[in-house]
Parts: sequence; C-alpha cells; structure tokens
Amino acid sequence: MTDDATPVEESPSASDHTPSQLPAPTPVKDGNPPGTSPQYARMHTVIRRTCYVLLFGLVLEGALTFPLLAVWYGFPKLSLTQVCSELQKVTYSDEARKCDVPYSFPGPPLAGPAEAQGQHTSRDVTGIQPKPLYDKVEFREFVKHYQICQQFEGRPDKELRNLSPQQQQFREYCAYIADRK
Amino acid sequence: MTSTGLVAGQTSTTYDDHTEESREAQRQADRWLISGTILMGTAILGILGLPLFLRGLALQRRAQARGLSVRPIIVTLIGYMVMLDGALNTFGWSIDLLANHTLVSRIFLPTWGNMFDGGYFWHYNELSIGGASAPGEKAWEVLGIFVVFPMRIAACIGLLQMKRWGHQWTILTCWTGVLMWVGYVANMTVYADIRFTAVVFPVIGWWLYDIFYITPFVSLPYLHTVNREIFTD
Repeated sequence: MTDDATPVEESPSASDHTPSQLPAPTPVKDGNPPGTSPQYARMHTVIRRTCYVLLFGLVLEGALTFPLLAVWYGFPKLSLTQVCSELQKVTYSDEARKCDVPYSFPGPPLAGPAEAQGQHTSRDVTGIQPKPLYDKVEFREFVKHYQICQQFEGRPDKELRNLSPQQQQFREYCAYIADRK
Repeated sequence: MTSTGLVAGQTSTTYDDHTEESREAQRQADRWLISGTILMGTAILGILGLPLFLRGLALQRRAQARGLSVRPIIVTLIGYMVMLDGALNTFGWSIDLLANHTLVSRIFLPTWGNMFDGGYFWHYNELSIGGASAPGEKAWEVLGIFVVFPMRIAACIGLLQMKRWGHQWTILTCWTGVLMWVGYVANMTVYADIRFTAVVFPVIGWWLYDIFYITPFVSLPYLHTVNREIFTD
C-alpha cells in the first residue's frame, strides 16, 4: 500500500467501469443505503421487510404444497396412482375411470391424444358459463371411497343386483362420488 | 500509509483495492444467493435453498458493514425475489402446458385445483393439448411462459448487476405483472362457476395462496423512488 493511495472521493466516473464492475460507492451520509433518500427511507424499510415475509411465504408454500395436498387427498394410504384415479372419477363423473400410468411419452401437447380427449361423461350445467355438478371432496374422502368401492370393481351387473341392504348402501356411495344426484 | 476517509471498519486503502475487495465480496455473496434461488425456484426444494439464500444475504450485509461497495440489500432482495416469482410461475404453468400427462402433474395440478382453483380440476386433460381446460387459461400460460417471465428474469439479472437497463426493465416487467394479475383475476371472475364450484378453499383460499406472489407490485414503489444514479449504463 502506498502513501499516494487514491481516496474514494476521487473515484473514476461511472463510464470508466467495465460492465461487470459495481458502481462507485455512494457516500453514506444519513445512514440510509445507497439510492434511498431520507424522505423515502421509511417506505423502503417497509418494502424490505415485506420482501422478507414474502420470501419465507413463497419458500414454505412452494415446498409444502405438494406433500400436503398429497396427504389431504389420501397419500400414503393410497398410492399416487390411486389418488390420480380417484381424482379422475370425480372430474369426469366416471366411476370406472383409471389413471393411465405411465402415459406414453411424449404425450400432449407434443404428440398423441390427451388422456381424456373425447371423454363425455363430465357433468355440467352447460351454457355460456358452464357450472360443474361435482361436489366438494372432503378431507381424505378418497381413502374411504377407495376402500369401500374396491369390493364392487369388476363384478358383473347380475351380482350387483342381489346385494344386501348394507352393501346396496355402499354401492350407492360408490356411485355417489362419480354420479351424484 | 494515509487515511483514505473511507467508512470506519473498512480495510482497503486504495480505490482499486476497495473495488477489488467489494467485487469479490459481492461475488461470494452472489454464489450463495444464486444457488439458493435456483433451489427455491424448483418449489419443492425451496427449504434447502432458503438457508443458502440467507447465508448469501448475511455475507452481503457483513460486507456492507465493512464499508465495501456492495449492492444495497433491498436491491438484492427485490432482484432475486422478482426473479424467483418468475421462476415459480414458469415452473407451475410449464408443467400444465408442457408436462400435463406426467403422474406428478396429474396429481399436483388437479388436487391444487380442487383445493383452490377449479380451473385446474374441471375437465382436466380433456383439451387436445392437455392440462387445465378453464377458458382463457392456456392463453395466460403462453403469455407468461414465453414473454413475461423470461423478460422478468432477464430484467432481474440486469438489476442485480446494477445496470440502468435492468432497473428500467424491472419496472416494466413489474407493471406487466400488474396487467397479468388484473386480466387473470377478471377472467377468473367471469368464469367463477368453473373456478370456484365445489372447491375446498375458494376465493379467499386462492388469495391467501397467491398473495405471496405480489413481490413485483411491492417492488414498484421502491423502483420508482430509488435514486437511479446508483445504476450504471
């Protein structure tokens, strides 16, 4: 270090800087960060603190959304594929609907038809502003639905006509999620 | 050795030393900040990214306390967070537009839709291009993924480099965010039956979930009132 060191006050102008360089320091006279004038100091502080809140919110939300949704809709009691199938039963009001996994690559929009293209079972009040007719899915309702309805899967219609009253009740419940009312 | 008149605690004595030391400190902080932001931009790995990001901020704050010429903390926060906003939105909408037949997409999007926004549940994957079938949704996705968010991310890189164009384009892209929100919410309102019928947490739930994506709007008052001389051409 030499005695003729250049003090900061004599720094070269901004145009001398290469693009990768940071600008010359702005003298901190009033305790505010560079670029913040006293009349906006309070507002800038509020904005900075708000940014911290948003940062934590975004990160927690981003990280937790998928796991919490999966649990709400039945995981790990149901596998992800089973959750997918249960979702489709409600979306398309089709009790027999199964999630096609894995879907042939690359799939839409690059190639091939969409999984539910041509599906006409979804029920809506149709019109210029359609209104869906499915009902709200309750917390872990898919688990209950899956467990009860498994016994009816693949059974011929003839057998389903001769059910006990309790089984008949279950049978109606299974149709209920897909084809209520 | 003479006194340089620099802020107390500063170690360098010449302008060149000071510049070099500042640049190195900023670079070191940016390494942590960038790594953290990349992880946070994936959404699910955000928990791992946050400590890295906070470490970067701490390094920068320390450098600032030493009197080095580093970016103001608020510019760092705004730059990285507006970028993160663009990245997360791109991620979510890209899986709906381009990866709508993966198992994860077919669970994440319809469950999210059933929980907050029926547009991602109603007739899901019935469109020939797949994904959400809500009227207008695909148009917003194309606009966001191919125009607004890349522009936003590029603008933030310029802002973080303390470039004049970065400052100007961040203002522009944040206002574009206002346009998108107003248009998007208006579209949702017109088709409210589709978006909110039989949804677990409708309207208020949607707002509570999405409110964390307002960083671009929060940033605007700062970007309009900061002394723009701190940004260089």
